[in-house]
Amino acid sequence: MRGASALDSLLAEFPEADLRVQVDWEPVLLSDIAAPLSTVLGLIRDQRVTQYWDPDRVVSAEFVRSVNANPARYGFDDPLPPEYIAWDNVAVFQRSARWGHDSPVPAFTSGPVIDAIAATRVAIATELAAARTVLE
Amino acid sequence: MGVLDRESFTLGQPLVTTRSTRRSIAILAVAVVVVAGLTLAWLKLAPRHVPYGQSPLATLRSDSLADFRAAFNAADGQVRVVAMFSPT
Repeated sequence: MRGASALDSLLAEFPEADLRVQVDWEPVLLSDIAAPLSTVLGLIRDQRVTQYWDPDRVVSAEFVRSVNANPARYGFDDPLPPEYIAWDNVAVFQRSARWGHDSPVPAFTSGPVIDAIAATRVAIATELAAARTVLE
Repeated sequence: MGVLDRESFTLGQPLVTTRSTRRSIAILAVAVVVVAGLTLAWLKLAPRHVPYGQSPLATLRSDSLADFRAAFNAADGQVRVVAMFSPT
């Protein structure tokens, strides 16, 4: 919850930036018995955000499948455990990233989100600067 | 004042349990179950609203991962962020 609020505050630091955000809410804890309530969804107010309820954790499963298909591509030495759940995590992708058969390799990823805000700020700024350089 | 049960005396020790107390406990238990059920129903069925300006909350299923992927690819040329949270 604090991570979601922190992410929204971070996005507010880039009000004019050309970025898109996908927020995936998934059940992980025993208390996650239903989709996030409006009060929870309201923690992330930025209009560049699309929010999803993912009761079957299909996005996490897809990330794990992609990593395990080629761990080295994602910077892992070994495959992730099959039951691994990707959550409380944030990933930043280059403007050229494209999701094909496997999920793209993020330019930056870390978690828990509340502890990764500073590094995420740097990653977003870096990618936005790179995008401006390409466009100029 | 309730009527003491025969079981209310054990080895000469009077118990405080009476029929009325047992009935109160039963009523309380039913009330707890009803409230829990209503709360669960509300949690499951309450409408979800995202903040103004955002697309409505989308529910992903195993056959709709393509929608998530398509939304990601639709923002080609933009820096993208994906974040994953637990709702509680």
